[in-house]
Amino acid sequence: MRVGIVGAYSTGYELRSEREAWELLEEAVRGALNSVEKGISGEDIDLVIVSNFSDRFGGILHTVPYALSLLGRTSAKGVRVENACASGGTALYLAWSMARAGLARNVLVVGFEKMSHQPTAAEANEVLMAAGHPEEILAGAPFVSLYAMIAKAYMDRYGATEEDLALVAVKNHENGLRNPLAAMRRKVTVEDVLKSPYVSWPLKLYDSSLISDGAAAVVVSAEPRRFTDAPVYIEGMGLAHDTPGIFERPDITELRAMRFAAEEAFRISGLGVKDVHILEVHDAFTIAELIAYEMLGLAKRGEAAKLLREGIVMFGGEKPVNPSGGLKSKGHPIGATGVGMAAEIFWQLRGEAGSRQVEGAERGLMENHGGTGGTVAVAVFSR
Amino acid sequence: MVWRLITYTELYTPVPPYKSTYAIGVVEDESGRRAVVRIDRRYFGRLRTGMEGEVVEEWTVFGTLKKFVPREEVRVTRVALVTGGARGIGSAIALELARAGFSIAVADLAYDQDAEKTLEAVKSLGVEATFVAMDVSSAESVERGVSEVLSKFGRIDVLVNNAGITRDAYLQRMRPEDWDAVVRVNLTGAFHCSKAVSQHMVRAGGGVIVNISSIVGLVGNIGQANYAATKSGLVGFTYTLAKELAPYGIRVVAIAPGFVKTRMALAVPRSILRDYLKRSPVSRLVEPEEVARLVRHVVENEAINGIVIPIDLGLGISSPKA
Repeated sequence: MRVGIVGAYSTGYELRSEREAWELLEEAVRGALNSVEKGISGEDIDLVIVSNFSDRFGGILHTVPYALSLLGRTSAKGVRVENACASGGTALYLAWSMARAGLARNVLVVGFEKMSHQPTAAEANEVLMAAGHPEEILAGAPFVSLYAMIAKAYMDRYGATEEDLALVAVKNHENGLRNPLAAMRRKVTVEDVLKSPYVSWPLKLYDSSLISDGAAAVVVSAEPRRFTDAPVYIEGMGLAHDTPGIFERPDITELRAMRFAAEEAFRISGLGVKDVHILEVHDAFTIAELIAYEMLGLAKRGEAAKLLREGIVMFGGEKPVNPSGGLKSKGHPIGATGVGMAAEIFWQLRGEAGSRQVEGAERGLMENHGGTGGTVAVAVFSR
Repeated sequence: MVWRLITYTELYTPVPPYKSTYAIGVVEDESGRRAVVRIDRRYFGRLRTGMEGEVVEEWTVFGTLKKFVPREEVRVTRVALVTGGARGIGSAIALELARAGFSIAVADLAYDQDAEKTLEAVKSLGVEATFVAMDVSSAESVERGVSEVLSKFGRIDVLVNNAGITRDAYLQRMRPEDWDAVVRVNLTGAFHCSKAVSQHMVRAGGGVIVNISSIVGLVGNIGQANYAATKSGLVGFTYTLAKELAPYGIRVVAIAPGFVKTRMALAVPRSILRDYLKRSPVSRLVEPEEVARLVRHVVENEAINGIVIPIDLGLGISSPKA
């Protein structure tokens, strides 16, 4: 059974949206349905999966009935999933699994988050901190600090520099300039990144992704050709977990669940990283993108920054990573993020990505992780 | 049990509910057991991978924390920057903080006889001292001065915003330039200095800012609209910075002296001073050293924050108000 995506939509991601969370959700649901070329009605959808991290962002829970009401249908089933920042990837994994198993024909996957509901970044970080290990929460470690400790260990071991990290931010901001959906379309230089204030040493403001608002939706179908002549197939997915706390892992410089999830997705799809033309990876912090290169098999351990210096992962390079601008420039509205990655790859593989279109992209990969890699979803797509 | 630091970070952006800067680390003992720990911010800039120490438990309202205490003792000589430190209250504060073991940076407009005397007196107490030429009303001058202190001493633990001037006149006779000059030095000066110093205090894990206000700022005084407004302005400035900077370990306190026996007070016509003393429950002027001892107490008592402390011989409760 080949399961495919037949429609996709994303609101623009914004740093501080004027709209309520449910308005973003509604735009994404309606947009995704309207994007299906041969038409799809609410009647065709038999499962809705909502991805959303916290009601402390957005102030709404129990969104499945609301989403169903937008479809004009109440006989479908639904569920909300939360796996921290990997909620979207998890929702996609469930949709794909259910469709593949014949338990659902057509699934609407919608993710949203309105993080600016919290008045300050500090308070948003408090909400996010709840996704850590209980001892990390008690120690008072927000995610930037957990990634900072991963970065410090990585720098100690491999001699990576703050400039190596900065190259990720520079690339993704450059890419984001081409994406009208990106929350922060601003070019930054290595110097800008290095001069930005430390948030949690050695990570700086510009090493961090954006607290933002947005929603994205995709329609996953077990009968894709019924709805479009150009579906994007989900050839394989992996969902893997690691210990929640970084201190429990034998090697702090690894995000090994990324490797496990990728291996699973590659095994099922029969494809490898060599076969994909575009990757959307979870650059919540610059260090995470560097480690992703290594976990996904693009680079050897400790050699991730080479890919940036040699241009391989740049837009126009051999393996463009995050042509959307990534979480760094496009934004990271938690519940929407993984779904938005799938939407981006859908457009890229159909040649609909406008000025950020990667030429000849036929196969793509998304990596969406939660916490410090306690949950990772990887999907391999082809057109 | 020996624990070794295997990775760490210094968090400069406080997160609720803890609202504090601190370092966080992962430590490992000889058997390979690991823990995630909090480390006091006084170790900022001194941590390194492989450092050894012990893990202790500390009760907090939020739960029992694991804290890593490095074996290496942190021994630093604290540094105080006193603006308007050449004479008067500033000079007394410099001397008192020197007695408390601080290295002293005396900032004033120019190195004159008073500055020389103060500096010598400070040095005679066996601490290091330096003079920095600083016009607090100029942001550039302040930044230059602060950099000078940092390059000499490496840190600033205490900033005393003491520089102040008067241009007394009744409202109708007060020229706009009299108003502006007093605001620029007394109020804007405190802003420039606090801004320049606080960013270094954040990276160093904290500090104390003491603003020398005046009882006049709380109760008003005839002929001092400009001076009283700035001293009152320092009150709001103190309250605000105390809230903003507390999570970074920086305490901000204002001290509001009554008339202090300095050249500035003695310039007030004798008849007005006599009239003033009539209203004061204790009929004398405050000694600069008394203000200085209060500054030292505020610096050393870590529970004092975000408050204006009068030291006025009870003038604040007198009626009619001064």
